[in-house]
Amino acid sequence: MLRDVMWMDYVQNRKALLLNVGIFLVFVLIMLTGESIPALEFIGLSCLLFSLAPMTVLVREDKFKTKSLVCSLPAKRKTIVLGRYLLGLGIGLGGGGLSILLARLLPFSTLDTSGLPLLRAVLVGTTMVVVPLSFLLPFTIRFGLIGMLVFLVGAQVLGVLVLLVSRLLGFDGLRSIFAGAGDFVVLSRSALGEIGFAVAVLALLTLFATVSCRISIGIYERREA
Amino acid sequence: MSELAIDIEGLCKSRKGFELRDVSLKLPRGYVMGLIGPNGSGKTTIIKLLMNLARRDAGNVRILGLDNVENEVEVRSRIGFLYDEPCFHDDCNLEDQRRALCRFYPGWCDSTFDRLADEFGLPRKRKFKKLSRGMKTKFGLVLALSHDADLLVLDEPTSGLDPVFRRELLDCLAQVLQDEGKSVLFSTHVVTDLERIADYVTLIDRGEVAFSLSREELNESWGVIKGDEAVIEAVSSVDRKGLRRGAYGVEILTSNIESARRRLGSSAVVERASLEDIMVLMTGDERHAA
Repeated sequence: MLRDVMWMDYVQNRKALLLNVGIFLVFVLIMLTGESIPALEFIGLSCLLFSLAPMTVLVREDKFKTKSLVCSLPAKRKTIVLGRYLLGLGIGLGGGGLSILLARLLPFSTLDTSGLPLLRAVLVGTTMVVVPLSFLLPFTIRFGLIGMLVFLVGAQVLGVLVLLVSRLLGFDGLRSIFAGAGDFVVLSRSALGEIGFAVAVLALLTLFATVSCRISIGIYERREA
Repeated sequence: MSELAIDIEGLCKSRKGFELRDVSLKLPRGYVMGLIGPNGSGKTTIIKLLMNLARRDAGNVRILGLDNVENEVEVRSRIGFLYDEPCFHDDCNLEDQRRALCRFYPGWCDSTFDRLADEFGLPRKRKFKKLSRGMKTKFGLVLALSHDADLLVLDEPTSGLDPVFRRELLDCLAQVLQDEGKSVLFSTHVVTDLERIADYVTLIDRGEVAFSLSREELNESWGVIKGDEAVIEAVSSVDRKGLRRGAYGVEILTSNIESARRRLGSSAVVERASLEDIMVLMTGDERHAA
């Protein structure tokens, strides 16, 4: 049934999904031909871009008012939501993988992936897919396109405000927060070892995605079609 | 195997400005029930509750013997559902819609889909948004009929269609029903649609079941009395189901036409009631005067 839900979402949104992926690939190509950036940043950005593609499915469901149709199909709403999370993960990680492949194969690529540790690349890519997806999907399910835009614009406005306030007050806390987070990652990695750290990060991401998924299922089940 | 296609008991649902109260109705397998009532009376809410698209506050709904919430997936796979305004992805063609949806139904039959699409003249490569209102409804109906459903739930399928298209749609529906003996719940406020196909009629008024009877019983027993104010007293209050005052006298709806004829003789005109008479007189503003 999960496969049927993913298939339905793919067939009904194929053109929009392919258009999104196409646009994101153009961004990836621009990144590959511009000034050289660190490989991990490239992977993170690519995965982040592709993880946004599945929002199309929910936004279009809202636009065409097809929720009543989807909810009248012989599938549990839980399965429908789960299918969308999996589709998102698939497109996000697939897009990240495709970006790495392009970076390696294209002759004009300025990205140096030769010394890239595979495990770290996977962790960065997965994080950059799971985190935005887990934040955005509940919003999009609850509020549709408007919800997603409000969330993105709200996050940007909040970021600008925090920067402004910290500059006005001469408070450099943000930098220390990010530096602290970086130190924590380095410390954890050295304490747990490369594999242990990877397992811990993946476990955290799984927990995060599970909580987000449960919230989304709750919202989707409660909404009347 | 349950003998009932639909068995609703004590169904309640309240939302802002509207309340569905203690709705009970039964539809035996193989029959067609028309769900009639004015706009906003609660027909669509009942259908949404039936399809588990909305959550009920109280009551039980059993479809083909199964609870519609506990056995949601199985129940839905045996229902052919047509919403009042068929909503599909506008930019998908009909063939893609079929490909997207057919996998959900174990009983899906491509040849039935093809045959019905051809009969209805549906262009499978055309995008949904390019179809007329009637064609959209026909497409919804073709999907509902292509997976060998035991029960068809049609919510206002003829609303917004011109009379020619409506007749054509009803003919097709009647033919399918005659051939395959499916159960159908057909909601409409265009009651003339039901004169030809309904075996049972349920009238919903302001969130309550006003009656749920066989059409035979309605045809045989219900009538409209036309006369002056004096005839009001001549009709037993038990049999009096509705009343309307007009410029030329009163119209009374009775559920006992024979008794009314005996009592009134030639002092008033007594005619058989059409479904439209019944709906207008029972749900009109003066119904309480009865």
